[in-house]
Amino acid sequence: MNQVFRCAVLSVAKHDYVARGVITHPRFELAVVADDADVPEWMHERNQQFADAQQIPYVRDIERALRDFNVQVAIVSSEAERHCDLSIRAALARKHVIQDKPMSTCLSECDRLVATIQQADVRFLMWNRNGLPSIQQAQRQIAAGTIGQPLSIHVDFYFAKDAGPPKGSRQPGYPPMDWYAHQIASHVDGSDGGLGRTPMGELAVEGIYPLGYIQMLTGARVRQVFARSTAHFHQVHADNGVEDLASVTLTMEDGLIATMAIGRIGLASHPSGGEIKLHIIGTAGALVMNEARPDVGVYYRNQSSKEARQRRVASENDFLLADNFAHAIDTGGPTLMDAQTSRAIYATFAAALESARTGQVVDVD
Amino acid sequence: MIRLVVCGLDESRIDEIARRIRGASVTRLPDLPAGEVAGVECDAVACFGTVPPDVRFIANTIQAGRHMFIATDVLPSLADLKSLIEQANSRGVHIQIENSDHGLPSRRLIFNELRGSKLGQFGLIRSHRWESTPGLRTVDSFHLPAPLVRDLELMLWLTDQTPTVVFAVERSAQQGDTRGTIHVHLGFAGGGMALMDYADCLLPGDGYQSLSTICANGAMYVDDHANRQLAYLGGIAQATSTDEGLLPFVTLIQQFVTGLGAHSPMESGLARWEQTCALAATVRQSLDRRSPVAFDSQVHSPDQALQGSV
Repeated sequence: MNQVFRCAVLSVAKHDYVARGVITHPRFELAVVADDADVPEWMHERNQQFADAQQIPYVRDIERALRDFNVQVAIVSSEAERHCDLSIRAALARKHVIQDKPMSTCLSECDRLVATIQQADVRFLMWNRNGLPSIQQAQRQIAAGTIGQPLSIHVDFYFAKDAGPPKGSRQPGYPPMDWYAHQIASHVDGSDGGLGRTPMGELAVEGIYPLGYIQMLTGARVRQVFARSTAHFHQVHADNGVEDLASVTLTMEDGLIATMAIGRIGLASHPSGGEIKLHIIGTAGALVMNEARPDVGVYYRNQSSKEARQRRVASENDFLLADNFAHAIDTGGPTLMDAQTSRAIYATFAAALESARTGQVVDVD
Repeated sequence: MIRLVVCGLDESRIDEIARRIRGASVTRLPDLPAGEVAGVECDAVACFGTVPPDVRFIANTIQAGRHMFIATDVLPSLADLKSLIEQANSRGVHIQIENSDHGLPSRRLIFNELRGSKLGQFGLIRSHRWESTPGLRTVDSFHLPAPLVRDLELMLWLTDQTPTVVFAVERSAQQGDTRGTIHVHLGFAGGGMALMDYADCLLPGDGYQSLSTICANGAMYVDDHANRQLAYLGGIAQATSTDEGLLPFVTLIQQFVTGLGAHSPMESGLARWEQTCALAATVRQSLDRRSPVAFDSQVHSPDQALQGSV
């Protein structure tokens, strides 16, 4: 019987899907929820609710939770600004770390986390979507050499969701929408992926997914970035100077070309959550993959416009990520998205934002 | 009744097109030596197919007082077209150049919806065009695959805007191979953007196209991935294309014929083609410099583009 890893959940201020995803695997169990005592009361409420639902304690002291509950793993899903800090504190306590995206809101924090993970010799996994059936299928095809050497890869990553009122809806004289307050209020429908005081556009909030696909499928490093971005759909993005639509061209190692179209493009733009596709051209063939397959069409009278008509099925993404993490702990091996890779992805979308601002091609650190 | 002769399509397709055209008799241009069109009983000539009609043929057709419609994959050079259109104007005949993709029902639907009020301002257009045969290069100096240049024109047509910045990158399929992939990234004033992917290195067989248009209030997606039927013939299932049939040709010819019949002034298409050539020249500059290039259709005049011609 393999060891079961006990997990401390360090905040579910943003989402609880990471913690729920991890325990789809029988080798993980939740032991405690914890947060710092001085976080706002609404965070304590969310943490407490989740702890109650899981029938585990909630403690307002992170170091105590890491010390006193015999945990081997920390799961971090706070607001973005605290992601790295919580992960670093867990790593310093010699806990393996699973973290929600984005990695951080500044590159120096990413560097600090990478160094700490290395020094503490613990495993790190950034939660991602690389285990989705279609992505796994693409990886198998490429690994088998079916399309030869990849020449270019293009990812569309559109979330057909709204984020508050549409752009242009603010009346003259009204103040700009407050990012933090909007994110807190958006928790009810799960559209608070950009939770934090620092406004974040779609490149920061969701860019990890398409960039994660590109990284996993090619294994190549990004060298340079050219990007365009705009706040095209939502007032909250326009008011806070962040993008809800972006296009990115990447030049990579070995001359590989990659592109990405990403946006939170509004509920009306797709009947089932958004068009997410991969186009890959190789020296001996090409692939066109729909990330949402397999799915089942479900339609009925009075159906809510928020309900996807095509529902994804047979995804083992959560299990596969957790399984990979358990294996990494057992063997000391790599995870599907380790700290260095996560940092490289952060540096890529940071470069994309700079390119969009300056109009220039930007080197990736 | 206008008498129209067509070249660049096989006879059976022309017969099928003829059955669908109102106000014109449509027949195949007989095989004849270049310049002999004067002997053909017709009022107008329409050219389709991949290669451009010979310039002498066009000039002789004009001199014979016949109108011309040119929708070949590769067009004559811009300088030749300008000269030929001048000749046609002085002769009182009409020349029209057209991107054959404008006739595709899918692209017309997208064009019409973009001109309507429901979808709102476009934000991002993404196109893929993959082919298995090396794209014929344009006659003009930018020396790009003609299908990619048609896609540039299509982008101008759909958006009704000119971009402000162009960034392009390319990669050969193999070292020293002229086949490969070209990616063009366009930025428009007001935040609009476009990503255009062209490849001519597929293995022999079907090509692939898709076009997605993301707008402020909605989106449109046309994709060969979705427009496929399955055939189970043993082994791995085959996905066969559901193409748009003869309608692209029928639509374009009917528009041309109707325009001629109305005896009202018709656009030659030269203005947008000049813009397209300027844009293509900017794509070439970006590829050569490996950097973004600001695009101003006034500054990047087609004449400038032609100055670099060999």
